[in-house]
Amino acid sequence: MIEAAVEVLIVEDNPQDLELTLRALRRSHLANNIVTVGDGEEALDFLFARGRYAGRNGGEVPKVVFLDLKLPKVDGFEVLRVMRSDPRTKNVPVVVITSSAEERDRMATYDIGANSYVVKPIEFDSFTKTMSDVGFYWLAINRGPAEA
Amino acid sequence: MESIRYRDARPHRVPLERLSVARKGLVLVAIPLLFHLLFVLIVIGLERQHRAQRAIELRQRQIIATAYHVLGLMVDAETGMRGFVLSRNEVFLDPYRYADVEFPKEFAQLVGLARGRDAVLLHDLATSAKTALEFQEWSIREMRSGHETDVIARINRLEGKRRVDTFRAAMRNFLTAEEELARAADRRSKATQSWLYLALSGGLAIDVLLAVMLGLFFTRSIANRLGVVAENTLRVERQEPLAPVLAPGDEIATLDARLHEMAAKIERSRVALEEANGELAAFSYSVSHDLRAPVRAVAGYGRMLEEDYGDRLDGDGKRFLLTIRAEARRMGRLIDDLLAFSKLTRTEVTDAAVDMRSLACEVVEQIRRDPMETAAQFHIGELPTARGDRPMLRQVFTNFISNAVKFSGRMEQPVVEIGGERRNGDNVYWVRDNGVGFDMRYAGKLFGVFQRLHRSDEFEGTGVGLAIVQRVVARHGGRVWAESSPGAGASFFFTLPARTEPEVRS
Repeated sequence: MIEAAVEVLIVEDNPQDLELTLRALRRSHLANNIVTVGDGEEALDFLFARGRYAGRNGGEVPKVVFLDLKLPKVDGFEVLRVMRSDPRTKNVPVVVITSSAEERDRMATYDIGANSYVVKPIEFDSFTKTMSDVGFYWLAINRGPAEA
Repeated sequence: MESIRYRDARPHRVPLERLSVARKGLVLVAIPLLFHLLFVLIVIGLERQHRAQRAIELRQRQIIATAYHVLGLMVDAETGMRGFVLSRNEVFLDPYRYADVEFPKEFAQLVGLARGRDAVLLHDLATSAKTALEFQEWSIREMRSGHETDVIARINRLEGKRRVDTFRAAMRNFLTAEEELARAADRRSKATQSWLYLALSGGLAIDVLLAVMLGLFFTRSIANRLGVVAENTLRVERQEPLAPVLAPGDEIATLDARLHEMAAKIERSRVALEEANGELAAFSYSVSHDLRAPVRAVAGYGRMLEEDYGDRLDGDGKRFLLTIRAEARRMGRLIDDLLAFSKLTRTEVTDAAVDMRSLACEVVEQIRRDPMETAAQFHIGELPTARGDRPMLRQVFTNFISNAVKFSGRMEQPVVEIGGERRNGDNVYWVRDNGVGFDMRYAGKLFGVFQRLHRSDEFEGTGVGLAIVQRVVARHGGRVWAESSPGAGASFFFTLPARTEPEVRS
């Protein structure tokens, strides 16, 4: 049986934000093969195929990770740091998607290797548009390191 | 608590340095004064002594001169007498007659001057003079009476000469003693004069030495210590650590101690302020994170409800939904404005020359591009160049001008005038509109956070814009105010300190 490759890993603890994001991506028909996790630990479990994702093919990494910064257990900074230090996930594009417009958060995430930093717009329309733009760019336009 | 270190804590400190400044001043004045007093007393004393000794010396010379005169008179009398005896010519008696009159007077004067001298000497002198004079008198009397041979025989037997020689010898003894006394008086007077010169030159030397020592004392105990305090005030201003506390004792040390207390207090306030700023930063961080999400959810779910179930809602339902979405939008803007406002406190204000006219033009262009606001006419006057933080000052113009545009939007021909001038050493700028204006009774509320003078359904707004303006201008060292009356438009003013050159500190 051929399991379709995971395209997007969304790490988001806020179910409302997640639903809005999924809705935006679905509208742009970008929502195939999305995996969503609710905290940093689960994100790392998924990426390195351990814990409840132990059966997953560990060599397979998503095309892009949408990462929130403020997460339970292991926060976004830590997830990013671990990803960058592991050869398997070192090159996976990570888009930080956060409510924080703080300059120091932005600088810190770029320092530890984020590929992009997007502030979640408050207004629904711009939120929807931003999420579809981000999805479109990273899934349709950008060519990642893992692609053939 | 760290132990206090004293700058010049030495176990054997000069007690003078512990005196108060007033007493130090007294020392500086009193020591030379006392010395000069002593000096003058010594000099006056020596001078008086010298004068007295000169008087004694003078009297001594007078005694000696008189003695020689007396001796001369005696010789004159004897010579006159002998001449008369030999020649029997009365002419030879002239010196005798003169001496006969003068001798007693002179001798009496001599005795008067030499009062208190060796009585034996004086007695010898008087007795021998009397004997010699009596013999002369007798010789002349006998010659005149015709007893010539008797007289000549006695003279040939050298009776007269012996008597005069006795007087001479007595006089020589007297003179020897008097001349010795004269030399002694001369020696004493010269010695006193030397002492006087020594006192004058020594006093001068001590004066110079005293001036140097007191100068050093002044420098050490007042000037240097004041210098430390002055340096410390500069350090307080520059927020550098202060020099160790001065050893206590005088007002300067008190001043220094107060300065240290003040610096410590300022430091505590600074730390407290930093903590408060840190808390504010943490607060706004959590505001940006935690408040945005629910607001977005409310807006988003409202939108989804409208999109997916809108056709199943009636008029009221749709209106409620619209209200929910509009209010969520407003909440979002409030959060953004509040964040922008709190960020102003934490950001450093840069200092550069800002061309205020071009800045105003830029802002007007930006506002004109907004299709909603094309109706207004803009007049931009000559604006003096300011010094400050360009992005922050841009925010000031943006808020004032968009306010003016907003509140004049309902006029037939909205006009917004931007101007400025130099006034009393400040640069004053204004933004004037012909809009609805406001009641001056509420002018005090204009620049407070979340303070609004118009209902939301009249004019949109969060009430943060003018608070931002106020804070920016205050951080630049200026002030803001407004003038208006309802329906007659409003004028908003702000000042910036007019500095063409950055402050130069040597």
